[in-house]
Amino acid sequence: MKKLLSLALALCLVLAAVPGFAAELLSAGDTYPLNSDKTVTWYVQENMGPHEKFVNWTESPFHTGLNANLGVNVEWKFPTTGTTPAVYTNTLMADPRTLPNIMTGYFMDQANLLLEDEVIWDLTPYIQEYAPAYYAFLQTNPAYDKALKTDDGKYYAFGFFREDGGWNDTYLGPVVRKDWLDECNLEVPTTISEFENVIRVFNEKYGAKFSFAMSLFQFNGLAGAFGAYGTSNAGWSWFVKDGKVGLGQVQPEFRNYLKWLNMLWDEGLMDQDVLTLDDTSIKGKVHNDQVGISVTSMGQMNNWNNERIAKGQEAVWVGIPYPKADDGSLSSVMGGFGIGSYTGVITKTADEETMKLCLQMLDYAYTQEGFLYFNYGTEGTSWTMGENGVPQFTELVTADTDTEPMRKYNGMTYGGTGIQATNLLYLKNAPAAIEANNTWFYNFEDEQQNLAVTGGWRWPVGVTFTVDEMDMINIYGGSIGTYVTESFTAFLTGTMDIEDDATWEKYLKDAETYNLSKILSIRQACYDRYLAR
Amino acid sequence: MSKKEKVIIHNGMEIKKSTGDRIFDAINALVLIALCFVTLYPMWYVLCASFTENSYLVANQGILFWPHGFTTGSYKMAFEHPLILSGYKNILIVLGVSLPLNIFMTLFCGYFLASKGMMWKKPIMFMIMFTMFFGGGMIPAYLNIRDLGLYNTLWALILPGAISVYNCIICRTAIQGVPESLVESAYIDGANDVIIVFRIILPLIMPTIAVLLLYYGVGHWNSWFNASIYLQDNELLPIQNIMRSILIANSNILNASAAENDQVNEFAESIKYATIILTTVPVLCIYPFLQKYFVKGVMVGAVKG
Amino acid sequence: MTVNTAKPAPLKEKSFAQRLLSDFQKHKYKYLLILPIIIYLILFCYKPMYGLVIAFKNYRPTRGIWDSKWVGFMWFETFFKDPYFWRLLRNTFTISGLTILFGFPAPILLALLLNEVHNNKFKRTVQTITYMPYFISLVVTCSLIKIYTMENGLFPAIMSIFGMQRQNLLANPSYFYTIYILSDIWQGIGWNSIIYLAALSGIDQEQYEAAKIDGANRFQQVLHITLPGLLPTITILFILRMGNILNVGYEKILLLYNPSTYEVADVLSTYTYRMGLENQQYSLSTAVGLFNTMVNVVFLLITNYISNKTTESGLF
Repeated sequence: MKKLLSLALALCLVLAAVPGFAAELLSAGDTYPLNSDKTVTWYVQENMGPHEKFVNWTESPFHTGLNANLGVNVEWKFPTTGTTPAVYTNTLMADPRTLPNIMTGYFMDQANLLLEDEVIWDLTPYIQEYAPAYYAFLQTNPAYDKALKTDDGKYYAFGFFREDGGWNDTYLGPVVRKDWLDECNLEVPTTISEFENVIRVFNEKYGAKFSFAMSLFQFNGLAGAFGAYGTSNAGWSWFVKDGKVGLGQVQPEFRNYLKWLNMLWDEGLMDQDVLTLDDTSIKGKVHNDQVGISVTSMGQMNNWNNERIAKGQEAVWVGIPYPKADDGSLSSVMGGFGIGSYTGVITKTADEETMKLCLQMLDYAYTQEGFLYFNYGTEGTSWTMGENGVPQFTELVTADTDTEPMRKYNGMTYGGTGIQATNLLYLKNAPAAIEANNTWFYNFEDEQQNLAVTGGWRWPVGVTFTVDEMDMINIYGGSIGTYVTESFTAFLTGTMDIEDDATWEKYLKDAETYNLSKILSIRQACYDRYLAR
Repeated sequence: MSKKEKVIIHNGMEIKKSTGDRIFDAINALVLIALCFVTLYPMWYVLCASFTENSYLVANQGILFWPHGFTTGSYKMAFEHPLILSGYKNILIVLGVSLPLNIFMTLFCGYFLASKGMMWKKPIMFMIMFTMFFGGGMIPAYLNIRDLGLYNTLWALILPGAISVYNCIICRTAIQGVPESLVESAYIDGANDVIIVFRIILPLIMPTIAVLLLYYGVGHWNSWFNASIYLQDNELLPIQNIMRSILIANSNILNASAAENDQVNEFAESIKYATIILTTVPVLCIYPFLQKYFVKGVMVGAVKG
Repeated sequence: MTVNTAKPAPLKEKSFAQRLLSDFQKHKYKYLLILPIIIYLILFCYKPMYGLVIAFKNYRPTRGIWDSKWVGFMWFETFFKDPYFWRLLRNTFTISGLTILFGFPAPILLALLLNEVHNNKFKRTVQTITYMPYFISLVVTCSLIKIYTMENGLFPAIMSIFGMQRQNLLANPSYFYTIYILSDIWQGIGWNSIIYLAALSGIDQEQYEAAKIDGANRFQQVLHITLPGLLPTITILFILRMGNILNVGYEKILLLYNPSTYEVADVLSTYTYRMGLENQQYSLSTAVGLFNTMVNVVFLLITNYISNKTTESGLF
């Protein structure tokens, strides 16, 4: 009981800490249903599709319900099941004459091209009149408005936002076995030295090693404790510091991080299987007491705990803070600003009248009523307002044993064109996962300092390359990613000597033959334009 | 030589078997048994894993001699997929229409390539071979399917794979093995090429036809990519696509966004193996039926009859 | 009427048109048989083939193939200048070469061994069993391989018995080819032997009887009857295989490689996959594909030429 109470208290605290703006959304008034006799086709690449239990969308309460609420006959289209969604979208795009009217997918990178080729509508002249709620929402936060425009100020897309402003973008981080920590009389590690000590003690006492799944390691490691940015994967390592764009893997700080990793590897403290482990195969080690400290996502940590419970064991995995340098500094953790790169655009297959209708339809998700519908479904059916003024799912959802049953009624479980309610994440995830997310996200008490560490260093969402810049990156940037990733493992395993200055110099020089400076200058120009918006 | 005599001679040889022969037979059998064991163990593992509880599977990977905590949960879960029945139905339709089409086209093509004396043989042969190496790629093929009005119909799965040049060449090689005298005497009897193909060639190359049936059939059964981009309605998808969606949804290797969407799934591991069993068993069952065509002496008997 | 015997002298005096006409009359049924195939090829292969021009254009799906900008050989240059070009080529040839060296003869050997088995039940059982792995999805095969080769997995355990150090085999570049080729053989040996079994069933049994009477032993029978009987099939399949020399499937490599084995495992198809499907660089990947095809065709022609010279049988 006491535990439950403290948990509830913790939840309330978190809720208070998260900036809530649901109340600031415009009310839809009596705009909806739109009572249109038009048929609109709406393509959704991923996330907002019907639950796997349904043969197609006509059985899906969320989609049929949305059609009714909008008062428009929407013909929903999705990639066929089992397809790679991005490939499906790319083939669709090959025939601009037959595109669906509304398309949701990843279009930010190509925005300029799509506008220039008149594949999508420039929404600037219409957005204020036909999508007032969305427009008002964008104006509440300059960061939102900035991300959803092109460099010359054109509105072209409806975005995805997290109500929490980036809290859930830090959904992965270090985890530890609490029972071992207690057995060894160790405190939760907060600095990198303490972290290393835990690895050593666990290794001595249990023969366990530091291990994690490669896929997650590509997203994020512990570079922040060394003042470095990024990880083994170049895609995640373009960072911005004091207005300058850089590549994490060629920074001197990153070399220190690599030295540390290489030291663990040499001393046999790091699992050598780390190079081939995926989320499934690491479980074998996790459940055989071969790992006591790791880096993973909240969902995976949840799985580990649940699988232990299924075997009649206790749930022992908890999230621990990203380790800081011994002087308490921290440069980066996995994070973002709660703005997704997943967007909805209106294609030119819609004539002007249809386009205006589409604007109104897309606007719904950003109204008060639409926000609730997109997150919880229909009031009274799938959710009711709790006593604390926070929506709760009804038994229809909570008693349903299917995987993530709320996805039958809502569209925001993973994301889409709309705003994801923080409360939805609380309802969806186990308390331990929420707690872990808190631990990973709240690194500093000062809000600005914390934002700089989580989202601030990241290459921002919404940056748009010009058509020419895209070409240049295609021609020159093909292999730099492979090169840095490969070198990362070579340094890690000792194939390349990280301690040797000459080797490091040669590595930096070789990065140049892969056109590093050229790409950096393109990205810098692009970033400067973004800043100037 | 009559059948009876053959048996006698065969038996005679058995008796006269030398020690060398026996040693060879023994070693041969041992090698094959070893091969079977190496092949079977991972297969057996897949079968056992499909009946094993998930939690046991994730903790004890790779070694399993018997299903642990026997459960059919993963199969139940796979069968709960709403599209699985329509998936089996669709692939049966595709196979039913495709296979006769495949076999006849390949037979015709193989016969043409094996024949001699036509003025246009070289250019046509070149035209056929050329397609084995050059193709327009995914996007033009997609646009072509749209232009021909085949988009979102099962024809989009049947027609683009109606003929494989590789198989035509195999067919041609088999037809070249048919004694020319047989064809010539048929011409003398007044038969035309169409009759020759069906009456003379076809019965003689039955082992090859069986191989081709298997090649085409398994090809259709295993293919998923075309269906994934040429179709729009889930109800039209063949079984392989449905299975793939189950497999990929539960395998983070191919699912890039798995890290963000990790689902708690109590059968996540074992369902992978159940999926394999469900898609493999039907094809495995067909093989023994075709096997009888590979028995020695089919050709000889046919020529004589 | 003897259709197939040529009538030499008078033909030469006829004009081209007349010869054409008589050719059509003489072979009208053969042309009738090939007609549906020609129509099919035009509709489904030649019509979309204009897509190849995107190798010479800066193709953008939204602009269509014709309206995209012409860039000549720029993409080929980009590819040849890529620092990884030589490595990709070397790895592709190595993997393909090893697959041909070990993977190509394996099913022939299996077919020959099976041919020597007299017990039909045993023979069929072996056939059916070896044929099964072909149907296991690569995703599962590769995850099994990963489990067996992990530091504490089955194979390192066996190797440690022989005094070798326990290690993750897939993280060590020197084991990559062995793992790749062995699993390839494991998965394909039964399936690929089917075509040889079919060919074996076409060999006249009387030849064996005659050889036995002449006192030929089993090895001599294999050498003088079975192998020559298989030779046409082997030759054709070998030529076709050589025409695929640069085609190494990307899916298996993607599932098995990791940054520490890129050095030996990164091949043309994985490069094309990264560029084409992941980065959507259709033009570059088409250019690489075209280069790939050209090399393949050259190898096919060389093999075919050698085969025609030595065995007097070939593809054309």
